[in-house]
Order: sequence, then C-alpha cells, then structure tokens
Amino acid sequence: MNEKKSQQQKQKIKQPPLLGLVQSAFLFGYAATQLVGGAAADRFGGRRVLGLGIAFFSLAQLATPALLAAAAAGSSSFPSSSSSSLSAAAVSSRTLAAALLARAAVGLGEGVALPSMSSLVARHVPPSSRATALGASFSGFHCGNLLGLALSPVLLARMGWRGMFAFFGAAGAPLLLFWFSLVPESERVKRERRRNSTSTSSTSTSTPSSCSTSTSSPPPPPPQPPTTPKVTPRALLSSRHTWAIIAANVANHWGYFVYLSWLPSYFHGAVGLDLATSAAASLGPWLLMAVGSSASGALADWLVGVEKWPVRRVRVTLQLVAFLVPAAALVTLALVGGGGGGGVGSVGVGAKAAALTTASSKTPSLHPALAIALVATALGTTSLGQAGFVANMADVAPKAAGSMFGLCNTFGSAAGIAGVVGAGAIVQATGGSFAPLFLLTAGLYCVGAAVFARFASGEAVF
Amino acid sequence: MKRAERGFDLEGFFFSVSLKKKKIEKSKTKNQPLDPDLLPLRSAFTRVVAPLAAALCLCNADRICLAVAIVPMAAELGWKPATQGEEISVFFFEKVFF
Repeated sequence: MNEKKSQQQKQKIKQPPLLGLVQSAFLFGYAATQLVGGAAADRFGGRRVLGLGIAFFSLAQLATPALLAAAAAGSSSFPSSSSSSLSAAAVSSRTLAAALLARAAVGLGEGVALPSMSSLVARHVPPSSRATALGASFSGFHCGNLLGLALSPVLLARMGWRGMFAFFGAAGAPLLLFWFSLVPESERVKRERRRNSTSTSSTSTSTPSSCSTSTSSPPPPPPQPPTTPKVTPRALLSSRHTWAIIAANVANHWGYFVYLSWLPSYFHGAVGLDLATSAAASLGPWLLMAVGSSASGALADWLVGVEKWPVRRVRVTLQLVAFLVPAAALVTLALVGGGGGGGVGSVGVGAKAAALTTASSKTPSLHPALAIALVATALGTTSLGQAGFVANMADVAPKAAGSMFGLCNTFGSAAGIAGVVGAGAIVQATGGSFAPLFLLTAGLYCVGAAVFARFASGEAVF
Repeated sequence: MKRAERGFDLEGFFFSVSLKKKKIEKSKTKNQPLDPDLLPLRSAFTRVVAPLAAALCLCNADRICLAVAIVPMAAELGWKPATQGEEISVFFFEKVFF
C-alpha cells in the first residue's frame, strides 16, 4: 500500500471525469425538486415536506448497494474484485448507470431540504432573528461536509462501501424521529386543511387536533391555492429584486461547487502539498464556513436590531463583502503563480500542517501557507452571503420564502452543475492551470455583487 | 404547539440583542396581527433551527461521502475512467484519520 501511495504521489493528479459525472447526476436530481419542494413547503409546511425528503434520500442511500447489485446481476458473480467475465464492460456500464440513478434519487430527496428550511424559518422564526436562524442552519449544512469527509473513510475501512451507504441511510431513521417530535406543524396549514375538509364533506380525514402526519403520503407537486394568495414563480420572476437574488445565488453556487470538487486537486496538484496536508487543508475552509455562517447571521440581526441599519443596507453590505473579498483572494491566487510568498501564519490546522511539509519533494508554485490562507479567506467570507442573499429571500417574499428559495436555487443548482463540469474542462484545457478558473470565478463574483447591490430590496414585495 | 404567547425569551438566547428589536417586530407584523405560526425565540431555535441543522448536516454527509467511496466502488465495479485520480481522496483521508 505504501508503494501504491507513493506511485499516486508521483503522478500529476487531475480530477477524472467520473466524479464530476456522478456529482452532476446528483445535482440534476437536486435541481429538479427545488421549485416543487419550495412551493410544497409553503403550502403543506416544511415539517411534512422535509420529513418526506429525509425519508426519501435516506431510503435512496440505503438502497444504493442493492440497486447496484441488481444492475450487476445476471451476467457475472458480483463481489469478485477481479472481474474476469466476458461482458465486464457491459456490467460496469450498467452498474455505473445504476449509480448515477441512485445519486439522482438522493439528489431528488435532498432538493427539498433548503427550500423547506427557507419556508420554515420564514414562518416560525421572528423576523428579527431570521438571519441568525438561517446562519445556524447553514452551520449544520457545512458541518455535514466535515462529518461526511471524516466518517466515510473510517466506515469504508471498517465495513466497505456497502456498509457506508447502509450506515448513512440508516442514520435517517433517528433523524426522522427527532424531526417529527420537534418541528411544529404550521397553524396556517392546519387551518386551511380544516377549512378544506369542512367544505368538501366527503373526505373528512383530518381532525384539527391530530398531528399524526402519515409519512407515506407524497407531496402533491403543483400546489393549488385554497385561501392564501399564491405567489407563482412567474410573479416572482417579474421582479428585479428576485433577479438580484438569482444573480447572487448563481455566482455563489458556481464558486461553491468549484471549491467543493476541486479543492483537494488544487492543493495537491497546483500548490504541491502532499496528500495528507491537502486533506487537512481542504477540511479547514469548511470548518471556517460553518463558523462564518452562524457569525454572519448573528451579525446581520445585530446590525438591523441594535445598530438600526436598514435591512437593504445590511444585506447589500454583507453580500458585497462576501463576494469582493473572495474575488480579491482568487485574483491574488491567480496572479501570484510564481514564487514563494511570505510566511503567513495563523490559519489554524491547515497552516500548521503546511509548515511541516514546505520542504517536500515538489517545488511549490506558490507558498502553501499563503495559498491555504487565501482559499480559506475566500471560502470563509463567502459564507457571509447566508446573511446576504439567502436572508434576503425571506425579506422580499416572507409568505413565499420556500418558493422563492426554490426558484433562485434552481438557477443556482444549474450554475453548480456548470461549475463542476466547466471547471474540469477549463483546467484540462489550460493544461492543469487553475489561474483562468480563478479569474473567471472572481469575475462572476464581481458581476453577482454588482447586480445584487443595484437591485436588491429590503422590503417585502410578495 | 398552539402557543398564544408572543414576546421574547430574553434569557435563553445567547445572541440576545432583543430588547430593541421589539419595536421593529411590531412595525413589521402590523398588517398580520398575531401570526399564529411565529414561535417564541427559544422554541424557534430548539424546535425549528436545531432539527433543521441536523437534517442539513445529514444531507451533506450523504452527498459528500460518495467523493470518498467512489474509489473502492470504481475499482470493484470496473468503472474505468475513475481509477486514477480519485485515489487522492481516499489516501488523503486514510492518512489523516488513522
């Protein structure tokens, strides 16, 4: 294993297309349920929609090994590692298709999560604490990255990839229990259901007091308006304030998914860190984002509540910082390609680890500590956007926050797919150089910042 | 669940800056008096935000675990384009966490 490892280190490592393919399969499913999930959360309450979503993506996760086994069955014996049968290629392409399908299914389930969050927070959290609530929720989101990256190698070593899928899938059960025991059902949703059941006498399903929500009932996709004025995606799109949020969402997600899929390759391939250090260095930014999310939410609520800033000014200021600082960091990264920089300390774990390995065999094109510091700065400040454009969704459309999030994040997810796929193409086209990619991302940040600053609103429009 | 109490739990919340918020609160919800869905601050965080954070955490863990698992899967199932570069991630994390 040691020799294999050193072999790996010798190779110029580039991201292969497979991971990008699998990730975009996930993102296609993810993008598909944004709008529907958001509208459903606004109508039926985030409690039921996200509860169903958790059940769905956990089942999909749980069923992934079985699905792959089913795809492989029929031609060759499955678990033998050295596949020697005739139709090995056919089997592998079938299992790959099954894996893509399974990932898309997980994506479908997860797609409702963030729109439901937006709807739940707008509905249940007092307006003066909404940014704090969103920030705390996003901290959980980023901690998931850390948890997944920390746990999965352990699980893989102990029980193989089938066990890993089973573990993560099974984790959905206690979460569901936790979820349904705590999250309240919306009074407005209940009232409407009551009204419906009295008007159409034949159905008579829900007594007002019974909170038993059957997990098996699917969320009917297109919501039809009973009493609350319905805000259609078209109505939302007619406002330039919505387009301001969409522009910010697109720039943010492009950057996020570029980081998500390319950080380890960048640290290893371009900066020249060894494998372990690259891993630690790519964990650091996620940790910073988790902290930054909560901090930015509290900061935004403090600025509005105590400092009496107008809401628009708070959102725009935070969003400008969240885009322009990373843009500057990325431009610096792109331009300082040549020599070693100054000894930048104090980036926590990453910098410390980097200091240990500066005398590695490779000649780094950029001082590792500086590169890590810049990437960490970029990612950390991006998380301020949670108190910028994300919180702005509930400002602009407090009664349709789920639909608003779903709409904007549909564009965002498309940008994420473009980021995953496009980044690979750009890096390969430029012969492994990350500079053009960083410049492009910085440019997108600037455009997003300009559009948001120009057109964002602090008032409720819908 | 059907809680009529408005107002804010000042002690419970560590980011509490709430004293001056009440005024804004009132002016914002002037049009819809007594929104029945709004929870008091503390239960909004324990009953909505905490479960949300947990749910989003599992979402992302489920998503990102594949980036690591894809290596042994690709090797076992014979997905060709994979085998080379992705090994980075597994070796990364093996080395860091063991």
